[in-house]
Amino acid sequence: MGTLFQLAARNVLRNKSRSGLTIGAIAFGVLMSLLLGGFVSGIGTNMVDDVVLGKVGALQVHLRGYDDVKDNQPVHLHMPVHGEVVDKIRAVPGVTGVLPRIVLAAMINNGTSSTMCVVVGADPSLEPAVLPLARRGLAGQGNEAAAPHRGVLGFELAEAMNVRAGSSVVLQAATANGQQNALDLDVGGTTNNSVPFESKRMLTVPLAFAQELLQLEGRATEFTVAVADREKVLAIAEQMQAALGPAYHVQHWQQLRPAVVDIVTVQRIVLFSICIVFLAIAIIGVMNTMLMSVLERVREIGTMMAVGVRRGVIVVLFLFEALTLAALGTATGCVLAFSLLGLARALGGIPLTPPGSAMVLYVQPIAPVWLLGLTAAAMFVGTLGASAYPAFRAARLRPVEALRAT
Amino acid sequence: MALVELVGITKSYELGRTVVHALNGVDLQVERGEFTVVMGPSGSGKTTLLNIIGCLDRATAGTFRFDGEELGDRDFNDLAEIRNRKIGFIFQSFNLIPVLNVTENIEFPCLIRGDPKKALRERVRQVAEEVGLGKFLAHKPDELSGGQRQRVAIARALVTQPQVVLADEPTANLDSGTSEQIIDLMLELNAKENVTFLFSTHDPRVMAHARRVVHIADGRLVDGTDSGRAEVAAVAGMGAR
Ligand SMILES: Nc1ncnc2c1ncn2[C@@H]1O[C@H](COP(=O)(O)OP(=O)(O)OP(=O)(O)O)[C@@H](O)[C@H]1O
Ligand SMILES: [Mg+2]
Repeated sequence: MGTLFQLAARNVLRNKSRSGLTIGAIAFGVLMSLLLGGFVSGIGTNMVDDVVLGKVGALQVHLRGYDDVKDNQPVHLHMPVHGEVVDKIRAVPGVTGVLPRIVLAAMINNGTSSTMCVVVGADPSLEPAVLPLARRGLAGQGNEAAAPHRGVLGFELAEAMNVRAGSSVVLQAATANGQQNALDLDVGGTTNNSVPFESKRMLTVPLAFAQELLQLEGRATEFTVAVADREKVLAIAEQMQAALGPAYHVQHWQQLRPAVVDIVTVQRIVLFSICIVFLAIAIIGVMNTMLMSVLERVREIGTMMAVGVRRGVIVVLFLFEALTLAALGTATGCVLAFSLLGLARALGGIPLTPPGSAMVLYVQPIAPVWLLGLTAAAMFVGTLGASAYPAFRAARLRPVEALRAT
Repeated sequence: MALVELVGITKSYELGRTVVHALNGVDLQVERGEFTVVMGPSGSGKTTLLNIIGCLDRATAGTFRFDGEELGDRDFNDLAEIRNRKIGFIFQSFNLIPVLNVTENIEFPCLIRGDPKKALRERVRQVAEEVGLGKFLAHKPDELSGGQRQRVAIARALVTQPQVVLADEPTANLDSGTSEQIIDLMLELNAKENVTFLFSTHDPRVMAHARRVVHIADGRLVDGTDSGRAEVAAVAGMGAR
């Protein structure tokens, strides 16, 4: 076995330019696959971060029934901000923070015109721990507990209402028991959101403002929950649901934002297809190289057969040669890919502007381990598959004819 | 019991509508320790004959016994094993493995059958010494002359201690001086170590050295299976002219 491997390695070195070219093709395939994979998964991570760390949290808890009417921003299904429910949520292992929020629909009025908007009230002192990216894209002052009558408007909403930091607007909404109420709000800043709807229709206020507007002192309509490990969110959701009982409804971010899951899945499928094309090109290169090296070594194969090499050993020899090429190419591709991805991260990420937004996101490209494993596995399996034909062709040669070859 | 025994061996190739009879009823016996020259013009069937004896090819008809066994029903791997253990090959075009150096080329047939490497190295050195390659152990084939390459091939054929060494026109690619040396080497190995040689050639000069010559023409052995000493001497005289 050792002898065979040595022989295979030397045969690879024999035609240096051809082997180099093949290794280069494999390396290129692996490199492209990992670079694209790193980029796409960086975008995916960004999108999921935006949702989990900036908008909905890892999990949300509502009263049961909220979900059926949530598009109307119902405010009659509220829970106490302090008490048994929050304590139970906090007690679930893996939970790192709970943020009480109220989501409501309101009219915003600048004195001359008014429009519908969605208001999110969240406790500013708890927010950074639960939604650390909530303030991404903020221009001006963010929400503070100490300034309960100051809020942040979506960038386009502020433009449409012709207000800026320092202006003031009136918010009008129906309270939990159906009366109309209005409250002045100072504009502290604007936020440049990557999602068009949120930029056009949303504003955020301190929880206390929302409570006052709706006359819901000490209450919230939802709890946004942060967890230590995002991968475990499904198990945590299950455990939390069990702890809270049927009166409450626990949902994880994938249920809350299924579109994001879909987009990430589609991105992965596209990525896969492109990777397969790159890898296929590399594998065809291997097949070509192996066929050529079989054809130009026919007499040598005949000689080996004459001195007693079995057919299976000939197959193994050529498979070893192909695997050596694959291993060298894959290793080269990985080193290049990880260096380039590392460099991109060291330079601060790849700047990207999502469509419909003026905000620049910095994508941190990281090739996930599973992609590396998959690429390497595809390369090895593909190489074995591609070299099987040349190898068997070599082994099927008849010794007399092989020896007659020039 | 003869080491090699051919009775009525024929080998024919179908080429389209015509059938080429490369061998046409060959009877031949080779005894252990013999040095036999198969002599015949180009196309007479020498290579075909040696390939059948070397278990590289099968006869179309006839009986072939090697070391007392009929091998007609053996599969590829069985025959590979027999070639490896019992037969040494020397080819006209040397057929060394270019990526292996002299030592590695010589030990190759032993390594593939799993001989332990340590004891092998010593034996390889001995054999290399015997064929006069003691100083070239680390050389690659392309760093050697034709004669030296053929010596490597001889060493590779001998290292497995085969029952017979088949040499198909081993001197055809060598100049006459080198040819003589190679033939002398084989004769010496035959005399000293009792290695059985079957040697094909179309060069009449080789007969000067031969102890037994069989003539082949058009796939048939001419005048029986053995030629007498007298004829050998006569042709040797002709070759020397
Ligand atoms: N594979 C084959 N297909 C068809 N005919 C063949 C084949 N191999 C050999 N022959 C024919 O068989 C005959 C004997 O060939 P062989 O190679 O044994 O001759 P040879 O004595 O070794 O000749 P040389 O001295 O040129 O090597 C020739 O007529 C040749 O054309
Ligand atoms: Mg021939």
